[in-house]
Amino acid sequence: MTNHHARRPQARRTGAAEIATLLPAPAEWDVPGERHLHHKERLMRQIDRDHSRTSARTDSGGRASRRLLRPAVMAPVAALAVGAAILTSVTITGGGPSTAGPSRHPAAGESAGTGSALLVQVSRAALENDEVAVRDDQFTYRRATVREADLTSGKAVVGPLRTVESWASQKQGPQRRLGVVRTDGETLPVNAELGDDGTPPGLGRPTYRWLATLPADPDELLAYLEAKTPKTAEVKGQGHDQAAFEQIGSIINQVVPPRTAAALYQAAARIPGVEEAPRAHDAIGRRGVGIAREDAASGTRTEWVFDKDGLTLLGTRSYLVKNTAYGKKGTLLSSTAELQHAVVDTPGQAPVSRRDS
Amino acid sequence: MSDSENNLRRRVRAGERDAFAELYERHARTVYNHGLRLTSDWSTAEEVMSDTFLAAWQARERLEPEGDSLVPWLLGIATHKAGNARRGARRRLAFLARQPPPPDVTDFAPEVAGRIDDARRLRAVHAALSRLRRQEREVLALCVWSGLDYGQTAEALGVAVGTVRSRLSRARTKLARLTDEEQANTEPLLRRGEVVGEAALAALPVREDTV
Repeated sequence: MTNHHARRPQARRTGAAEIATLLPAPAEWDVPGERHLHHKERLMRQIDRDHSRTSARTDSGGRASRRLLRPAVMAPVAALAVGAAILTSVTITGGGPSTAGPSRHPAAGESAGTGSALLVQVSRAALENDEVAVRDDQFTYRRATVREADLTSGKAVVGPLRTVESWASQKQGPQRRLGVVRTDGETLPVNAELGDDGTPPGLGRPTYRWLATLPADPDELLAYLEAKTPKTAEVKGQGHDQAAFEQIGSIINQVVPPRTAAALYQAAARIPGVEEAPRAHDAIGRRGVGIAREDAASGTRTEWVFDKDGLTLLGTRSYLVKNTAYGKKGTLLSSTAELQHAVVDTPGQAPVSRRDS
Repeated sequence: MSDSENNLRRRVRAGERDAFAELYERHARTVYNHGLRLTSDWSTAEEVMSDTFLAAWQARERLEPEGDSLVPWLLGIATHKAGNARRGARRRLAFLARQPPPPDVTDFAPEVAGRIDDARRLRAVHAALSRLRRQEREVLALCVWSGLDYGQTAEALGVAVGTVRSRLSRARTKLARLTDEEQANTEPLLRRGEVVGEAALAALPVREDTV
């Protein structure tokens, strides 16, 4: 750093040169190496996402590359950007207060697909949970174990199993700081992705209060979700159903008001092609009763696993069911295991007990 | 350099992935530092930088086909982003950034002392800048510290060259007055935390302890 802040404005020179003498020139700083890379990856990922969207549009066959990119949104680095979208539900994992209802096992064989009966039960179980008081100045907390594939390179590269803690701001109105994510001992802010005025509550940032405003009627809710799901995601009819299914999947691991959670499961039950998946398991191998939907267009299958007794969400898993450009049949795209959910006052603060409301 | 920048411009406009990787590698630091000068906040500067490149990607088709350096374009976007970040961050910043610089920097042992001085100076600069109007501040940051010429500054801000000149001139007058004031008063009239010049810089360690 040079030392050139002269204190003699009498020696008037013009323009920039003189100002340079009036104010010390600030030093140059380097972007910390790891942050430099992080933001580069964020940029590259956005470019890839946009490229694949464009090619999906121009490619009349619609090879559904966008479908496959959904897991990429959850890949390690980007997970920070959408950290708010991976928050989970007290109502779901909180294990409702002794709700050992009768016959929790699926009575399969209803018209809308084999999964609908089970989902109706899951929905009822969700409804039995208590409302949680969440203030606007609080944060919803989620701890989960996840394993995800990075698709940036064009091939699914499956990452390590890692524990992610996240805190999502419940503030109303658009926010630039959406919360905080901690993984591998590093705590990073979750910032609004794009746009200048921040992210308002919505599907991309589902606050508890916002979720409570969603229609309680499953048909209305499904219609709403379908309307909000990007049309570019639509590939040969089936794609859109899958998009709606995944949209619901991205909400149910948040802290969701019981009524909304119940409506979401009922809505999922109405999506064609949703079926039971008896062999489903989560990221850490926990088994229970499963719900799945396969997307023929993209060759992916997404499964939700619920605890056999309480019917709370244990986790999810998504993988390829045929050979694609991203990898061979069976390749894991993403998996999660829900560990804890709570509401806390401060981002970065772990909940005191499992649940104290 | 200018030839390759021109070529890079063409590829950026065409939306080539590699061109953006190169653009980032070449100019991320410049954008970061510009953001840092305008916001005086390391994490906000990082956000500004990151958002700038994403916005550049999205606005690539609106980039002028002809031109030399891409820096004015990027800094123009960054200036806008920093303005927004400032609005949002004002409360959080509480006037002066107090958080330490990122660990990568502080861990660099031999330079620590120098870096702390630099950090202090950055705050002092920011304090001085805060006495200026936003438009004056932006012109100053672009023209004086990022080394753009008047034409490039005008390009970055989307204003006429004459406007750049007059804003810069106003900034200069104000800064000169501030410096004079400071000299005239052994106890500066500046508000708490606001300091300009060497004397005030020397007083900073004490001040920091008490803030």
